Amino acid sequence: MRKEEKMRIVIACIAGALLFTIVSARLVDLHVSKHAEYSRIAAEKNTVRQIIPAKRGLILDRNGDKLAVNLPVHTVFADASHIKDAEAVSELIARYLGLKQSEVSQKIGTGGKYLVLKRKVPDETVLKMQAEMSERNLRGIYTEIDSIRAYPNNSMLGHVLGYLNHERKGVQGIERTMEKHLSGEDGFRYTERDRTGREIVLYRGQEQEAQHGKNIRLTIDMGLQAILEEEIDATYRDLKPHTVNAIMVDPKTGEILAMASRPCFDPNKPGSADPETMKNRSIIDMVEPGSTFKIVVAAGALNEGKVDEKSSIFCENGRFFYGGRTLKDHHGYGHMSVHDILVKSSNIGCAKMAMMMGGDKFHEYVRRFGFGERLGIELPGEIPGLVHPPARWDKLTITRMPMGHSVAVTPLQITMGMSVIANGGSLMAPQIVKSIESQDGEVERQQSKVVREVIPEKTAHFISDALACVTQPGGTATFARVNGFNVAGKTGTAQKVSEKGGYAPGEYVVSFVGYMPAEDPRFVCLVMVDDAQVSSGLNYGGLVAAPIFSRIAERSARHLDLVPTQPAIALQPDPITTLFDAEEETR
Amino acid sequence: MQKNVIAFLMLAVAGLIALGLVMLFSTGAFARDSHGDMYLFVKRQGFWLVVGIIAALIAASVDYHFWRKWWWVFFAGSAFLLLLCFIPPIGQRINGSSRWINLGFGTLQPSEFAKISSIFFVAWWFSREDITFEKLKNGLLLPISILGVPMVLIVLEVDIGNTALIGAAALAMIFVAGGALRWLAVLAPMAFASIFLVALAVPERVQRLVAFTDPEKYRLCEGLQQWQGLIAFGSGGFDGVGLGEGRQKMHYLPYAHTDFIFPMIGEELGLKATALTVFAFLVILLCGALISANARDRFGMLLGLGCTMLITIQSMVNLGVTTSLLPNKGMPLPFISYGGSNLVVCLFLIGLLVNIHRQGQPLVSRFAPVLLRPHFEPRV
Repeated sequence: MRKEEKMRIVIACIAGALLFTIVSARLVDLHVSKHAEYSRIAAEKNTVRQIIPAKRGLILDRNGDKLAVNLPVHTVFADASHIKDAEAVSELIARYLGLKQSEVSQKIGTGGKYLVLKRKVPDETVLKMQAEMSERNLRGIYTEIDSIRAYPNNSMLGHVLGYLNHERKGVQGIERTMEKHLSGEDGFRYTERDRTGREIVLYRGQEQEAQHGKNIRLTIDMGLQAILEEEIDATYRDLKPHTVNAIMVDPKTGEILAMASRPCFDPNKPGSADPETMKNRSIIDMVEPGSTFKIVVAAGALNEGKVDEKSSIFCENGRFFYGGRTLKDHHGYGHMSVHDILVKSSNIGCAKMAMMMGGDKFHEYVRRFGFGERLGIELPGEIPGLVHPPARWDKLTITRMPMGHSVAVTPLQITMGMSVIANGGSLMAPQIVKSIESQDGEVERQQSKVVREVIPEKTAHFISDALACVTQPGGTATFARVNGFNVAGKTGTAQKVSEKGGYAPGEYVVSFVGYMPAEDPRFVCLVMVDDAQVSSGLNYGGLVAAPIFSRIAERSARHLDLVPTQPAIALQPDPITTLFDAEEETR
Repeated sequence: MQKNVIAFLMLAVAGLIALGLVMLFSTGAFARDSHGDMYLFVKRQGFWLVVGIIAALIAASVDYHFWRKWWWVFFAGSAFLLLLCFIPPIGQRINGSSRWINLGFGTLQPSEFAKISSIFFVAWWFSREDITFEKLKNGLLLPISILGVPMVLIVLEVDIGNTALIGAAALAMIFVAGGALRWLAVLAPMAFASIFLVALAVPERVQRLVAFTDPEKYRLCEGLQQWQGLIAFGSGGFDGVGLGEGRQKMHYLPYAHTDFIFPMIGEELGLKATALTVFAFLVILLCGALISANARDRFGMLLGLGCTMLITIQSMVNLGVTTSLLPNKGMPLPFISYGGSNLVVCLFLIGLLVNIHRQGQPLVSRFAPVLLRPHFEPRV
């Protein structure tokens, strides 16, 4: 009996030892064979990669006004693995975020760890929601600070600033060209969370700080920009043109002080804007410049010694038969000096000067003035315009191009071309970014660049003197005068090129580009009105664009605090007939 | 071995208790979230440890034949306490189970006492000289019927685990006592089937059974605890992630300080600690068996075996559940899991083993003279 009992105890022990062996085998299996698999699961479960978002840089004007800023908002997301009472949570979320409860619970039902429920939720909603959640002891809903880009001035300067797409990348304007400076680089942090979602600070892992974006300081002066925008707004409203645009440049540095065009859009709501309104017409529109282009031929002919200040050119009494066509002036003129040809804007005089220079030389000057090339402004989509080489000219081109036809240029090119005259002969690179300023105060200034010396100072002064007379009584743009200042400038009126080919009858692009004060220009300003709805007898640069320039220039003078150089006089406009820009009629 | 069996037993038990306290320090730190004091669990466990040691000393000092004489008092007493559990103001119902008696300052779990009194009874019954296994009535039916009283009461309060534990320990005792194999071969499957049927009657248990088949699939509901337990073992590897560094205790693994403390050992200390833990329980089993085999009389043999089986089976169930070898069943790991009554009972059982050893076969125990002989001369 005793022996049998011992036997049975031994059997029981063996059975127990066997069971413990099974447990041990299982432990080896779990600890060793499944180590990699379960470690990965554990790491995935606990570890969270937190993005530390980089702040996008601001865009400032030259005086530090904020043109593009970031507003804090929240992204609300759910971590389904932390949600216990899905019903109550989805009800609460639906109520606060204005979503459908069925949608929310469906989303939570998918079981992810990062289910974005709604973006761009304002602060106060999130605070209230979180308060109720903690009160009712619900969890699983978290928020991330996010930011949206806001443009406090709405549509003002919208074309220059541009906007962001949904991925928060700049798609237009400065936002696009300066993307790499503005965007910065998101940082990240690996951290662990316990099951209630709280961060375990002890186990913070690798961390990289966010590189915040740099601020971009523009050369734009919002004071001048406001003036420009108001004036072209009024024009756009009153004259109902197809487009209006205006550019103001500091001729000595090439800094763009203001740039605006109509129609425009609000970069805060790019989604609802008509694509047509988003074009920055100052750099992507091709236009025939009209008579403003005459400065090129005059400067070229003088510089090449084909004419001098005293030369007299016969202007064929207003009808010049050449190449099978008659070129007309508005008024018949006899012999005129270069000075007078510019003041009176004689087409025939300009054509003859170009013929004296010859096609190749003239073309060279057109190119030297910056036409037909991209000037390299820091804005997307700039076009070079269209200047055919002499080999592709027809017989008439030599008479047409000097007065700004048969050539396509951008408004910016006209402005920069005029700046050559205003600053004494240098073509400046247009500059819109003044400096790039990092968050820690490091400032990278952008230098103004001379593209090339186009003409000597003497020639520039001669042309400038003539242009100053354009706004004087007897010139084509007396409406451009500003009381107390000498204004130099040139009008332009060109028939619009029809989409079907040829010119569209009764549609004109009229412009005035001038600078002030003429003796020491502080700004060059172009005003260009495309197809203003006025009777075709009045649709001239001197009548439509010049008065706008005058208003802009006068207000800008106040803003810039310019000291008047001339005694103030009561302006007596000449009879309209004397102002007419003489243009070629239909071809 | 024979002479030093108590040393081995004590070493195993002390090691397990020490490991338990260390792990309680680690896992209990998160008690602050729910109880406010990160040392609360350790303090309470320390208190119960003292109580348990006192209980063990009593058990070791009192001649175990005392229990043979008075077993019926304990048996009736524990049955009475079990009944009290069902009377609302005294009995306390937590999570759908009426396992506790409210003492005002704490709770008492009568099923723990029932465990002890049950093995007292079984040991007494089969050590009677008039009992033979030849007769079915005396040899099997009667003792099982008597044992059935506390077991049914425990089942009714919905504590299948402890019922099964008592049943299994009793079966092992009957087996060793010389129960006829033909009857046991019928009885064991029946017991197993009845436990299974009872489990099926409670919906919650059914879900646990289903979840057991694939913890990963049910990892968000019933399988959560076992799944997280598996992750704990797996991420521990051989060396563990380091003491105190475990992540699973941070609310991922429910009951990480009580029933599921073993996976936390696995995560923080790795295979070397879990394997040693299993080895320690094996040592307890072997020591217990040796002590029983060398007991002075049949009662001592059966009682020692019952004590050993209670501890061993309980640890096996816990190890099996936490490693997902068995369906989820909340049963504390002896000496390690947080929980007062179980620690006290287990230490009391160890105390009984010590006493049996001391009165064992002549010259077997080095520790025999300690308390029974007034003139003890210590051997250094």
